[in-house]
Amino acid sequence: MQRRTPPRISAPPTDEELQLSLEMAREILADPDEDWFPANTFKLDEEFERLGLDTHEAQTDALRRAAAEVCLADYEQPEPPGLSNESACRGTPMLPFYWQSESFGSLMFFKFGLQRHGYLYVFSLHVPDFPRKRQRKR
Amino acid sequence: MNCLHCDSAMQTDVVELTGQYRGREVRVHTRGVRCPSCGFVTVRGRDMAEFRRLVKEAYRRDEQLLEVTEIQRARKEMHATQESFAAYLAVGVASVKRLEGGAVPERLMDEHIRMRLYPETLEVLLQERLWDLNSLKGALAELPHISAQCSLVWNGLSDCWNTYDLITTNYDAVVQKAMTTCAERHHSLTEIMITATSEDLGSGNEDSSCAADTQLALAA
Repeated sequence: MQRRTPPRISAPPTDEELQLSLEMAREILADPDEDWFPANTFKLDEEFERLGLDTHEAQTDALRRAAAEVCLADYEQPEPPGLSNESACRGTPMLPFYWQSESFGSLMFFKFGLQRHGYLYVFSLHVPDFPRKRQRKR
Repeated sequence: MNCLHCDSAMQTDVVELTGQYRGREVRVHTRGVRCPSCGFVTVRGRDMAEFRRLVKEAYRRDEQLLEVTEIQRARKEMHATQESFAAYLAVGVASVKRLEGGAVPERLMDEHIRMRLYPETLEVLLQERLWDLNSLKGALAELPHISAQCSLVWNGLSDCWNTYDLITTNYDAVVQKAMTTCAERHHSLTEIMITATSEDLGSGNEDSSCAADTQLALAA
């Protein structure tokens, strides 16, 4: 797969930037030869365990469904996106999404980031403990 | 994949990583990617489950908890289904399924299963508890000794305090006494020197005249 350079994320991100980021994430997750990376292995693995996702296939499938379901309106933060502090992908802008998932059957939270070389880092995928805080300003 | 830090191409390798499980950090060797230039290592999504499994295993080994194979073997030796095995252990069938699936048991659950599977475990556990009790008893037995040491230190401290208190409360008297003593000593010294000087003068010693002048000046 020809790797694309991820868009530079503005503060707040524009629709184009978010759309392009989502498309890139979907492409990476759809390609079986492509790798995605956990930003924090333990945090993400615990979340997967809670969702009952034991195998890499099940995890990738869940991420694929999440990336396919979220849309621009589900973007959580209107402010400048937070930058990751995880050692694996320090400085990568994090894009969080809240959405009512049909396939997971509940409100879900999905957060990912595209590292400057175009690699997909997954920060979180879980059922949120609290209701959605902010709606994206249109 | 390119390294996040130095942009060099990373290679798939067995890497040593630190994982965390139930608050304990363990180091494991797992599949991952390594940067040959700067040494940065990370795991890919596809290696995550394996990494997690290795960390759990290392934790289980460190904590000396029951192995998955041990539980499976015990059940097979009893020719039991998961349901009947759960009934024998007096735990839920979901617990047996989880444990055989690789879940790490809590310490209490581990001890409970051990006592059911190996009755002699009870004895070992009791001995451990007794050992703990004996240690406590030993510590308690040492307490009088410790308290004697404490009181010794305390007495020393209170002695110091008493002296200090004595000085501070009778400061004026103490200073007055010290000054009087000093004056008396000084007076005696002066007298001695004057006597010595006059004796020297009487003997016509020229060298001592200068010293006598000095001593007289001191005495004045």
